[in-house]
Amino acid sequence: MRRRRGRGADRAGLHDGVLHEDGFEVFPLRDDYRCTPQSVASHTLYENADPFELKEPSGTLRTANARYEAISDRAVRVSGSEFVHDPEYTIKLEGVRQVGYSTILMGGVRDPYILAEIDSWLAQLDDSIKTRIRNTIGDRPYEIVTRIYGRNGVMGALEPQHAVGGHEVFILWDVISGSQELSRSIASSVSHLAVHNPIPKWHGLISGVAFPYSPPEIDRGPVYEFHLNHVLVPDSPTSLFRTEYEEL
Amino acid sequence: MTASGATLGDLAKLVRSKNAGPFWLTIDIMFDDPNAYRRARDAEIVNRAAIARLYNRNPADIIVVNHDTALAIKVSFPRPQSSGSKYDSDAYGGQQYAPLLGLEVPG
Repeated sequence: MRRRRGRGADRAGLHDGVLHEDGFEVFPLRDDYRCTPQSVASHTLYENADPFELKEPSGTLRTANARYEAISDRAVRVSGSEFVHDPEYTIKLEGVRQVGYSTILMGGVRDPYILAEIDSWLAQLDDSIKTRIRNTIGDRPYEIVTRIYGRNGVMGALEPQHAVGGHEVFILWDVISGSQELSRSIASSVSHLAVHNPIPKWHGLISGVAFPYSPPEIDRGPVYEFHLNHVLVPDSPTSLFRTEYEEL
Repeated sequence: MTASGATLGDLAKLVRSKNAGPFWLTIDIMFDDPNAYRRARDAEIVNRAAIARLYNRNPADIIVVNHDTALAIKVSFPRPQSSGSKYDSDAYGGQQYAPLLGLEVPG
């Protein structure tokens, strides 16, 4: 089971534990800290989808019937949880793949007329980018991820509020392609097209995006995503791991 | 906050969201007052239909658990994108709880 054992080098989060056949006791090392049944039970919440079914290598820790008892004003005894072994020994395999190279642009918009029609402004920008890229770099694959902070930049698809409520937005463009040079070249086009992307209200060449940095393109190097999420059944618990013995 | 009406944000000690592995998000609504916890739990305002509506998720994918010892209500569901992938905007999942804060808890 994952255990977070404190922040940094201080002893604030350090705990000691005593294991018994039928349970364990836990208490903090610092005198002015204490464990309570609530605080210890809360540990099953942390970064787990279900606090009563904790998936671990080779089995599941079931905590639905666990009892958390205070045995002093700062120590807790836990018993009654149950480890259910899987039929086979398993090892979790996680891995990533490189999806390309990223160059980002950061910019802000304050013009209320652009903000009032931000969706059509972005759609029009998207069209101009596609046309420009098709005419300059051709068919080489690329992707542009646009995040609008002030609208749904933090929550994306999970955001229930879709309107811009404030007087400015921050826009983060992330250009991803097969090489750093290509991503930077596309980002450079995006920055020019974005800053001059017209709206019906204004006549003439507008300057609609504030870039805090010049040049605005920032190379982010190779970028990755999760690609492998498998449960492996090895021949034996140790068969996948090389063990070398040395005589000392 | 009035005696008759309060929001989850008013009543909770801590509301937090985190990744539960790279493909799931989990939200903990934690209380320090057992009465506040029971009031929120028994009102059943945190349920799969409500979460599905607030987060635009499929109700069948949502887990809602009440943990009486921890004084906590827990919500988990699959992320729209895996952590750190191109379209993910919150690599550690830390800012995904806000829509729950305004849920009204009857008195």
